[in-house]
Amino acid sequence: MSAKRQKVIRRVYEEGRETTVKPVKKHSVQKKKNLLSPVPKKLPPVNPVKKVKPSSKVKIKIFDNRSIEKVLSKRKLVYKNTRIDRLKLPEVTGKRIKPAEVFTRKESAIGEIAVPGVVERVTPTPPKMTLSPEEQRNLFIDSHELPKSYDHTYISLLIKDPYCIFAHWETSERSVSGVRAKYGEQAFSSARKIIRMNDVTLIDYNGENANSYFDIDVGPFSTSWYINLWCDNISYIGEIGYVFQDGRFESLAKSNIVYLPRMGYSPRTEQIWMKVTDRLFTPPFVFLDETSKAGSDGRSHTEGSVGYHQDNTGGTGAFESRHEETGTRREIRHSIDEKDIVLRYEKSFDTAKKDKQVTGRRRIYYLTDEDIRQYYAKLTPLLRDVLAARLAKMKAARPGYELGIAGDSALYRMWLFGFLPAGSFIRRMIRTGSSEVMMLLGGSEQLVSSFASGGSENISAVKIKQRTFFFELNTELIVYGRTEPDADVWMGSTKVPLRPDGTFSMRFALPDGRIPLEFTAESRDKEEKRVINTYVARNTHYGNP
Amino acid sequence: MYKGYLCLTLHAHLPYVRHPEEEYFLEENWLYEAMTETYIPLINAFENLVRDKVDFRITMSMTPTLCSMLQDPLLQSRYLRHLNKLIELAEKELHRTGFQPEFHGVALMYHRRLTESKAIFRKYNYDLVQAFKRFQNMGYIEIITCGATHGFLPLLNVNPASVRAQIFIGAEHYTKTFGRPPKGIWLPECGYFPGLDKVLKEAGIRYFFADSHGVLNSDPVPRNSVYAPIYCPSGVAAFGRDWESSKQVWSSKEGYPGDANYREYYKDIGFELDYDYIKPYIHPSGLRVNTGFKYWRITGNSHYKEAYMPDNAKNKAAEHAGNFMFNREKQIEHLISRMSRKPIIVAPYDAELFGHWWFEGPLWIEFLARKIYHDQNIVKMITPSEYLTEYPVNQVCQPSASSWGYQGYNDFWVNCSNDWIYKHLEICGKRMAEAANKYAKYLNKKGNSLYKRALNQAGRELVLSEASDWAFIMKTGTMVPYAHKRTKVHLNRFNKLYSDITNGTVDKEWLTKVEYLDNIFHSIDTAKYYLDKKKFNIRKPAKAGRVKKKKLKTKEKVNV
Repeated sequence: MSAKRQKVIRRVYEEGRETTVKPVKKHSVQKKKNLLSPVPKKLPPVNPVKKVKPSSKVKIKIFDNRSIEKVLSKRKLVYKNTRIDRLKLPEVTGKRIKPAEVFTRKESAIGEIAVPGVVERVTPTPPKMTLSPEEQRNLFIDSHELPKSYDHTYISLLIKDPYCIFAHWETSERSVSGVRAKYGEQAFSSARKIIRMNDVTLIDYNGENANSYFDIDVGPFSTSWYINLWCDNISYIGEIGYVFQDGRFESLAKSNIVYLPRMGYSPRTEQIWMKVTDRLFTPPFVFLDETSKAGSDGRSHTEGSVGYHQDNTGGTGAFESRHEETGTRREIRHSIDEKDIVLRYEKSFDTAKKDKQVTGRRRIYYLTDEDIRQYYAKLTPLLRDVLAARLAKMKAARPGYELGIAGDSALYRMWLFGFLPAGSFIRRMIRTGSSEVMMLLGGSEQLVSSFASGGSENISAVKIKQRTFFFELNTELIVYGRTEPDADVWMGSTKVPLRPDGTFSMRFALPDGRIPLEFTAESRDKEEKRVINTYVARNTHYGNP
Repeated sequence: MYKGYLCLTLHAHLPYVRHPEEEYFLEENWLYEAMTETYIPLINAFENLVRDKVDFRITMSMTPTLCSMLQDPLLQSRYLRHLNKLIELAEKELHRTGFQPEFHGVALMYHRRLTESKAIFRKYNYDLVQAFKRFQNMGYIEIITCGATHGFLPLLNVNPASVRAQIFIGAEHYTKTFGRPPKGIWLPECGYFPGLDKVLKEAGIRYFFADSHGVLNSDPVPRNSVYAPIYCPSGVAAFGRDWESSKQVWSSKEGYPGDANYREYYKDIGFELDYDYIKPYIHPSGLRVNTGFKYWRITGNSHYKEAYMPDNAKNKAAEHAGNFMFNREKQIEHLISRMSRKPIIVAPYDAELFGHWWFEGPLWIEFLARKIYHDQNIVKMITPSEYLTEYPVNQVCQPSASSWGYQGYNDFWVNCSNDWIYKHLEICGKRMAEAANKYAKYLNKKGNSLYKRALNQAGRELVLSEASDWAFIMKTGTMVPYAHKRTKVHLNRFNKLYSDITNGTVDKEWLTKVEYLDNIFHSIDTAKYYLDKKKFNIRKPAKAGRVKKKKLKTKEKVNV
């Protein structure tokens, strides 16, 4: 290629100015085609007089990246700059050009194998890109070397290890000639180009207040240096410049500040502690939440938060996670205590503060369909079946709804449950799960009346029909013990009064759940101490025997 | 009951190698080998554990480049083609080893594995990321993100905008892929420098992993050394690697993978068999490559190798899993005497170690999870976020700059073989920040203007050239011309885009083609992360200004 074209190419690439470049000559394009694609059946007409030397015979090479590199390294690339008027504003198109539309679609041969019997077609087949060799070269532009200089005076430091810094710099012609002009030729000829490394540990460097510095002679031709140091855990700023015979230093550029890492233990041993709590509304925590106002918007978070949600969109996310009590073997909880839900429900009435809602002892749940089913299975069968029947009738009256789930499964019932009006008493009662109350109120009769009136919002409007047959059961707990009359006995942290003969007895209510009883007895002179721990558990089950 | 925790972390990363312009690209084999030998066997192991109701926790870091490649339709179809060819080769191998009893069993094993791999690949709709996502949603594994293209951050810190872009693009890609923001990050090569935690906090990341000396040399000295996380002053937690557990697996002398019964990596039929026989299954140019069919076991340090016996290897893997668990038990029992809380042993490994380099690796992980769940109650597997939930109070220390590369600092990525790239990366990084700030108004408009596309593509090219893999390859000397080529190509394309944007001469056709070739992060606006912090949400102040003006007018009217 001619020297003129080389100049042009360099100008185009290095200075970034747009220049019209002469298009590539035709015969050279043909040659490239012959090399990089299969030989066409009909060769283009060639001057028959020309003798083809055996060395210039066309070789068909297999198309892979190594052969491309070889070929391309022999040729220089040419940018085809299409002229765009600078005054024209860039177009703002709403449409995005899909790459697939630009190229021709070919039936992809991917998946077809010569061996019979195993033919695999993959859909969708991606479009095969057809690029002419010239276009490929334009895109690859890898035989083009990276620019040797960016015409910019700078110095930059990088840490290699605690005792070594890598410095790289460039001083443009302009800066050097500026120094030469300022100090004169004579002084400049005896000046040395140096890097001045300023130790700036723990100070704000303003150009003069370095702790210390040292110089490295780098000479006029090098552009990088590995600087070995003797001390770790310090910081440096480097300056590239010239130092003259009389000691003056002319700095051309200043580097970034680098902090060498420490190579050993820190001498400080004080302990500072910090608490960082998670944002609990983001995954992996499932947040079983109720709406703060009963029946406000009808969308209960409970129903939104159970089940399989693969993609969490932030906020009260819903997907499964595991939680284990600290110190116990990890068990998958398959039931949710009604008490907890009541607790949370009540709490959500009290405060709108989110953090209070999660100070309960369980804020992470593992919920599956099974959990939901079992929870609803805890309801009285009477209520559940009647409810399902009523809802089915209600649904049948509105033929618009599609039934995706068929049958008598618990899931079906749960789905039907969604059709209840949000603020209905039934919904609240079911959610709070106080099956006791339902029993007292006499489930089925009450339901019939409520549905007949189209679902009632107001509890007081519903007639409570008392039944003649009733059955109640309750329990109380008596704990008694004895010790020396002058001893102290505590239950937990409250002191228990003793009778004169050293006995004591306590009686309290025994609700559902587990009540721990931890008693401590201490002798008068505080010498001896005895501890007895026990617990009582009550678990009520209402239902068919 | 449980006295301590084990946090097993697998770092899965591959550089972005996708060349639609060529049918058979040699370096794409890295992806196919990793998929066949590591990712699919790991998914298989997880499925088995879930089926057998074994509770386990593994932390996996999946880099954005790897996820993009796994979800790319072109590479998925190419992988299927590769897999079909391997199955075909497996059938041929069965015929060939028909009269060699010592090899026939191994050939049967490969055939079964490959057909099962294909079934798993199909099952997840050719997208392995969905498999890992499914396990994360079930709660068994926690997936953490990484830098956008695994750029080595301490050396990119000369331009803070580049560091921000790497982390924010990685976080955004993770959010789009997995449907939730990332909780943790695997810093590329564990490269940390003081000040990086502030960027992580801005991105909303809770914790990262650092090498042991990064945590041990922190200021002030951590009370619990690496066995509890430390908070950087900004509140982001740092988990330090445990040296003992790493040595047991990584060490070339004493580590598990060097055992005599395990499969030998270097004797592959792609190099040993007849050229004519193996020709369809190696590179079309005739270059011999690994096929994955290896019939020998390590046997010893010499060249003499004996036939591989899968059952012996499996038993050995079980033995080693038991040994690892036993060592962790003893370690924890020793630690609790000195700590007032339960220690966490962080054991991070490259995912490619399990399966690709160490063939029985995924088996070992499965055995380990089973044994930990069933056979003892001292160690429990845990993910870092669960540990932070249990212990939200931790010591505040500033970790020291470090990495997990050779010699512990930045030695591997800046030395005589690859120091020339940093001049270009630094200047191109400055250019990108400058261009983004200058043309910020294009970035904030909706839609796809030409300049917005050009800026975003420039961001992608820059981020691709910043990958630490190229510097790594240049140092190890494995495929150096390829690394050179990738660095040059991306920087050249970036420079052309930069000059086009500043001169106002963006070539639409050329841009479209480059977008097709380098289509990583195609749905993410990469350029906006290079903006200055103040300009980050440039739209909002403008709107606020407008509203204020209106208010003033009404007031004036009232006054008048």
